[in-house]
Amino acid sequence: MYALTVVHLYPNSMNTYGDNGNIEVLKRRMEWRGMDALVKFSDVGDSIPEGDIYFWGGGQDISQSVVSSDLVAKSRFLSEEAKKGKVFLLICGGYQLMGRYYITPNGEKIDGVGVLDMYTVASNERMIGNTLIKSSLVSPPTIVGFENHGGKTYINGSPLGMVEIGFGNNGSDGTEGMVSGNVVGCYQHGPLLPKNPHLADWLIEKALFVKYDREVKLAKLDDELEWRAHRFMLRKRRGRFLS
Amino acid sequence: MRTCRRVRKIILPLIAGKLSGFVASVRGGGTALPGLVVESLNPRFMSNVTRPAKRIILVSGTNGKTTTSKLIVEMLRRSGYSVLHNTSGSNLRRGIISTLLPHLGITGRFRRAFDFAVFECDEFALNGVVEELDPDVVVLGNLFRDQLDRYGEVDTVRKRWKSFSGRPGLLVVANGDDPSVASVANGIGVFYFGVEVQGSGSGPKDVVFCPVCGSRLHYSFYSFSHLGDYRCSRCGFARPNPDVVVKMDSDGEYGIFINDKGFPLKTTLRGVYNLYNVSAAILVGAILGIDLGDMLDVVSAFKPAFGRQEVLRCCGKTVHVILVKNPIGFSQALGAYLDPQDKKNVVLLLNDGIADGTDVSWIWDADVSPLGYGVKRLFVGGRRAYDMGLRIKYAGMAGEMEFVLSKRDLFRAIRSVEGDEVYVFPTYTAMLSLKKYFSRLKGTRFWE
Repeated sequence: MYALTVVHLYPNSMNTYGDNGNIEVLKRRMEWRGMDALVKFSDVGDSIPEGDIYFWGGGQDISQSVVSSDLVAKSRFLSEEAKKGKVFLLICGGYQLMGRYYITPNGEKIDGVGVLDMYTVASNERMIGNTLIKSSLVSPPTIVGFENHGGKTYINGSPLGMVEIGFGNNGSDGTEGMVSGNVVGCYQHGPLLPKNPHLADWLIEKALFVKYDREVKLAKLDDELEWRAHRFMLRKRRGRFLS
Repeated sequence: MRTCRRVRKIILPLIAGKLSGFVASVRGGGTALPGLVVESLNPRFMSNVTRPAKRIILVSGTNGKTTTSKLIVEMLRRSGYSVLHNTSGSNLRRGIISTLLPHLGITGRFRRAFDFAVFECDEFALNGVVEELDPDVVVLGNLFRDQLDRYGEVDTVRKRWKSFSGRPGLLVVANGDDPSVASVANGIGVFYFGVEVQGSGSGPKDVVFCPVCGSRLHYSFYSFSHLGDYRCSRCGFARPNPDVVVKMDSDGEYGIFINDKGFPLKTTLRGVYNLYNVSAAILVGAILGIDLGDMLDVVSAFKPAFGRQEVLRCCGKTVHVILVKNPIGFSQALGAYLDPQDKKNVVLLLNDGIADGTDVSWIWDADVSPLGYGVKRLFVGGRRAYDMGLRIKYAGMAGEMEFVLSKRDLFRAIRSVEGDEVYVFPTYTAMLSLKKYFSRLKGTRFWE
């Protein structure tokens, strides 16, 4: 009986834009395959339990500075977990804080965990709207989402994909997100996983591989609704794309 | 004002606005168009014309603006005052301007002096409107995540509001149970309302941190979401004592307490969120000197405003329409209406227009569990029906969900249910299309 532990980082401090829906998706997709999914939480002041998949979502500005102080004691643990190949799904604020640093609107430099070789600079422009990403990580190679961020991220490594519609990491270089080993970070809300079941399964497969030290083939699920929802967002690009 | 300036700032915009209003009414629709025309010719139009009423009240907040302002308007009218009021959906600056236009003479003077003007005002537009209209009272109802793609964050609005608190001559009526709102209003001229009734389900929480110092807030009581009795352990920021508060006694009856004196409160409005609207309206009424008996009568007889909770007869059934627009409203509405002892036929309609919020991720922050225990048949429609379907699927709702992707499908679905009642929970533009479609069907009756 396969089992995975999903650790939700900062579930109360950083939980805007419905990103906790990603946890629901991971959990159910495992349960529907007869696997056990245990979800644990770790917020400001808590220690981090060991997990197979770490999820970290977006938050409001005020949370980000409180969380970054809390992060100082936890950075080492998170870096080592990433080195061990544990899976990380990072959205928006969580993505930014796993990078090297973040420059706030006041010009203050906040240190990140440093797992992703990238940095973010806050800007006054808000990059908001439905997005379409072309990504070779998954098949079919499309990821649909919704972005809403002021920070511009500059990566030194592989992106999650290239932006077909939307702004992506910084609105200029065409990249969106970043992948480093089993650490996946991006600006995609939506939430990300419900309409991108292929990405959800990619994360689950990687986590199983690391935990059980062999490839575990996932049973196919009835994803008709997921793909209808995904394709509906692809169709939007033909007409006016709502921003 | 010099003549050429007066022409530019007042007369020209007025003519253009009134003309466009005439054109729009002939073609049908477009309530805010005249205001938009005026606003583009002179953004500060409202500060250039005379004062629309002796006393001006603005009502803002994420949820409850329409219900709260309608309650206040009815209380004032019942007391014999003339009241100018904007209809729901016209709560941006251009909508308020559109409301003023029909009453303005060409030189920018109001034809009649209203006793009161009560305007519901969008949270983001509030600062500008306060500047231009110079109101006597501003009601700050609450701050929840709503239409994130428009505002970005709750904190942004809160910071903007802080800049007008302390404005001389302005009375602020604030929801003290909401830490974001309570942190905005401080000092003289602030009154607080609250509710000490526990809502069903905890729902998602937006603010967990002290808006003043950033530490975690501790709650001894939640009415719902992040509203309740809170205290910051670090800086001492805490829920202020409400001047008006709604409580519930051991028999389940509501009472309204004004400066600790209690009176029985009767209302047909459902949900804890509506108790906040009542509490706010009564506090405003008390400040304005309205007779308490009149206020309580208005509350007990109050029928909800356009679309918020509305009942109509159509397709051979009694159709209840309850507008939803954000996680809190949605969770509360489902919790208030769905009952395992009395399962209902439910239709969810999710659109993603500008007025609905183009980012539909908010449905994942809503507590949809009542759909698991209180539903006979469940229909899902609207442009983003599939997103709603996924929300329900991943919430583990084992039951059957039926998609109604066209108006015809919806019509047939409603006709096909057992029993007489159907409950529709649409987002804003879905509600508008629904009403438009129903009004064209033979035999539809709207009950106001």
